[in-house]
This record gives sequence, structure tokens and C-alpha cells, in this order.
Amino acid sequence: MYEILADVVKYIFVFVVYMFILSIVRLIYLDISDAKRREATSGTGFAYLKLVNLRRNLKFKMHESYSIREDALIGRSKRCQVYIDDPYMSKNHARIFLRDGAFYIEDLDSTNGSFLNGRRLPKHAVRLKDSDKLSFGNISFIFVDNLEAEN
Amino acid sequence: MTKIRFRPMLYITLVNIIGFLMLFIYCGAEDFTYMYACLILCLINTIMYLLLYHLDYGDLYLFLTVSMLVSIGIIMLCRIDLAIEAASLGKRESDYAMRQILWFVVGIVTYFVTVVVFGKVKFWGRLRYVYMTLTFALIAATLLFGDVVNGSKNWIVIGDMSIQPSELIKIFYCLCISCYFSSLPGFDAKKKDKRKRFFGIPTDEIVLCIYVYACMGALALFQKEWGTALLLFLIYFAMCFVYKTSNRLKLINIGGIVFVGLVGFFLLADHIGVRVSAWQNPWQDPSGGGYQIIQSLIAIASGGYFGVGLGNGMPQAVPFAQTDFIFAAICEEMGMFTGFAVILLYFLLTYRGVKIALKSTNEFLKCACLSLVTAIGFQTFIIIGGVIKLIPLTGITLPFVSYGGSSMLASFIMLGIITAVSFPDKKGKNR
Repeated sequence: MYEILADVVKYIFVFVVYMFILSIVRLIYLDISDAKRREATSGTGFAYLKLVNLRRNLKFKMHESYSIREDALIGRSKRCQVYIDDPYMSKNHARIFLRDGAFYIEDLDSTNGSFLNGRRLPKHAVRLKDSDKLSFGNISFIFVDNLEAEN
Repeated sequence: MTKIRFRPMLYITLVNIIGFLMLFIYCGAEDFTYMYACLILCLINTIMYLLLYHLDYGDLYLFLTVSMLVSIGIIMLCRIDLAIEAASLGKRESDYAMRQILWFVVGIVTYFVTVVVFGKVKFWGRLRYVYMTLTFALIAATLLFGDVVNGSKNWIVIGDMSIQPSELIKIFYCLCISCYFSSLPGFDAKKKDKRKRFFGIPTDEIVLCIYVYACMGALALFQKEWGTALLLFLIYFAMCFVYKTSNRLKLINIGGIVFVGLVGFFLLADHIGVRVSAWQNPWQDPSGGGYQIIQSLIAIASGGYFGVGLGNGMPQAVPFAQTDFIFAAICEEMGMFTGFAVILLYFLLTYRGVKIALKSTNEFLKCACLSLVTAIGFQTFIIIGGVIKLIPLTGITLPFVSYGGSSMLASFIMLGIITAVSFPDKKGKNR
């Protein structure tokens, strides 16, 4: 009786061990692609978003800052340049873009809305200034514009 | 994102539960010791993982991989205990598994302490002569107080405990040669080589050579511990290649090792010669020199791809199944695929270690991390290669899996140092 049981369980055992290896490899892969994306967006950025919240208090992984080049999507989808795994975020929440040398923010019809300096964003795009405060869901950022600061 | 971070821990818990439940049913579903052991192991692993995760203590994959290896090892040791008990007609003769769990707890605590202490203290790179003295002190202590077990004089017995100093020697050796390699002039050609020279050869190069060969010679010739001696040489040689030392040093080393090997082969023919001939053809002397390898090969072959199932094999037939030959026992009962998985886990461990070494910016820590990772990788290669008859067999432990307090402790200290190197400092960058 026991022999038959052991015969069946051995396949499950091997399967679980390989699932473990797979899950680790997947995590490592995610970390690497994350690091690569951060590398690609940092350095030459004209502006960046600086996190206001304490990272320790958040239930999900975040970086201290996110560089913004010309165009950045903010949202819960993994394709977003600023990817935030907050349940209060929409898949594509907001967009920051560069036009005529100035940055603008546009809400992409998000469920819970985006806030600029405490006020909810209107339908049309709004121009961003240096050290503006942006809030999405639980997260708050300070917008730092290097171009404006230099001028 | 959060959920996937905890999935590996779930699989480790699942492996523990499956393994111990099978053992529980195997011994009649009456003895609850194994269920308690399972509970303790799962709790330790989970708590430790949560702790490391929330404190943001460096690299988590190292701990995950190792806790999987330890789980597989402890399940196998429980099984070996039961097999020995059955073979000696119900008399309990060995207590490997419970002791191993105890050593695992001690190892985890040591790991945590090592991570904190090694991360906080900054002057490890300047203690070159301290490491050197400690190495020689340990070698001398083994020679003076050591007992001969299985032809090798590498145990110090104090009362009830027996310690294997060569495991600790390994760590000090790695740190010591790291001090040397991290003080090399580097790849910057403009920087002038300011080291003192003796007949045109930098003095610290001479000191290093003498140190390396003294360690190897003492271990190989006096203690007859060829496995560790080979390991030390491989670490050193790998570091020589990584740090692009001069070709002269490499040639001297190749000459040196050929000399040591030949001396060993002719002087200690009874020790080395037996092993080499057992490796070439174990069937020449199936009851003598080739016995261990033949038993191990039969065990692996009878297991097949998925094994005979936990409890259906005969792990007690393999000599030293709890220490050196645990890989053969794992292959027999859990199958060749679990064997591949164990090798893959070591591969992941080594990969993470090298990655950490590449990222680190402190020269000494980079070097220490690399040499320790090389040590774990080569140790695994030497013993698994020996068990599957790829290279001549030398008795060293499989890190984290084999039974043995010294081995467990030393492996966790090594892991702690590697984790400490990946420790992010206050600026959020790797050091």
C-alpha cells in the first residue's frame, strides 16, 4: 500500500521542486528587466518624479525616483514607464509628456483620479512646474524639472 | 508583485510537508516527531524569509535557494535514520536528522549575525595577517589534537563534540587571498605599481604563494585531506584568472601543482593511488577500494529518472550516505530529476553570488564574495563529480545538504558574508 503511495507522491515531489526553481528564475528575471528599465530611463532624463511616501510603509516595491524623458505612462500595467502596483491605480492612469520645452500631465480617464497640488486634474492636459506635488492612489510624488531649475 | 515574492516560500513549505508526511505515514502514522520537525522547519524558513524581506537585508534568492537545499537534505537524513533503524532491527542507532535540524537553527542564527556584523564593520580588508595566523593556528591545532577518522586526520574531538577545522580554514583562506587580490594595482595601466619588490618579483606575490602552498601542503600531506586541498587550489587558481595576474604567476602555479600532485601520488600511493584506480575501474576491486563508488553508482542507477519513491529504496547500503554520498541517496529515492534540481539550485546560488560580486563597488568585498562563491561552487563540483564517478573521489561535504555541524556552520557563515556584500547601504546603492 505504502509503496503505491510513494510511487505517486514522487512525481508530485519532483514537480514541486521544479516549480520552486521556476519561480525563483522568474523573480530573478523580473528583477533584471526592472533594473534594465531603470538604467534605460535614468541618467539623461530631463525631469524625474521623487517619491514622497516612506518606502517602508508601502506594501509593494517602489523606487525612490523615476526619471522621465519625453513621454511617460503612469499606471498599474507592466508596460508603463512608471509602474506602480497599487490597487487604487488604473492600468493606464496618467501620462506625462514634453511639448515645446515644457512638461504636461494628462489624466487618462482613471477611476480614482490624479491630483496636482491637492486638486483633481481636469480632462485636458495641465502644464507641470518644478516641485509640483502629484498624487495617484496612495502614492505621492514631487515633480522635479531639471530644465526649469537650470533656467 | 507582492504575491509572486512569496511563491517560492510556498513551494519550500510544500516540499517539507510532502516529505515529512510521507515519512510520517511510512513509520506507521503514530510517531509525531517528524510532523513536529516539519512544523519547526517551515516556521523557521518562513519567519526568516519575512524578516529578511521586511528588513531589506540584501539578496533574498540566496536564502531561498539554500533553505530549499537544506529541506531536501533534512528529509533525506530522516529517511536514512529510518533505513538504518530498519536495518539494525528496530534499534535506533543514528540521530542525524534531529541533530541536523539543531545545526540548521544554529546556522541560521550564525547567518543572521554574520550578515549584520560583516555589513557594519568596515576594516575586514586590512586583517590579512590575522587571517593568515588563524589559518595556521587551526592547521596546527588539527595536527596536535586531531583524531584520524577514515584515513584523514581532520577531526578535533572535544568531549561529545567533534569539529572539522578544515571547514573554517576554508573561510579564513578565502578572506586572506581576497586581501591580496583586492590590493593588486588593477587594470588601470597608468597607475604605477608601487609594491615592494624582491629580485623583480613583488614581495606580496611571494608571500601569497608561500601561504597558499603551505596551506595546501599541510592539508594534503599531513592531514591527508586531498579534497579540501584541491578546493583551496581551485579557488586560488580561479582568482588568478579573474584578476588577470601575470602569466608568470600562473605558470609557477601550474608547475607547483604538478609537483605536489606527483609527490602525493608517489609518496602516498596507498591513499591517492587507490582512489585513482577506483575511479578508473571500480570493478577491479569491488569489495575494497571500489566499494563506495560501486554502491553509489548502483543506487543512482536503481533510482532512474523519478526515483523509487521515498521509503522504497535502500540508502543504508551506500557507505557514508549521510555525509559524502548524500547525493547518491537523493538520486536513489527522489530520482535523477531531483538530483538535477539540486545541481540547478547550486547553479542559481553561484550565479547570484557572481552577480553580487559584479555589482559591489568595494574591492575587498567584491573579491571576498567571488572567492567564497567559487568555494561553494567548486566544493559542489568536487563531491558530486566524485559520487557520479566523473573525477576521482575525495571526501568533502556537499554544502548545506550533507550531515555535519561544522559544514553547516561554515556554509552559513560563507552565505552570510556573501549576503552582507549585497547589503544595500543607506544611500540605496550597493557597496
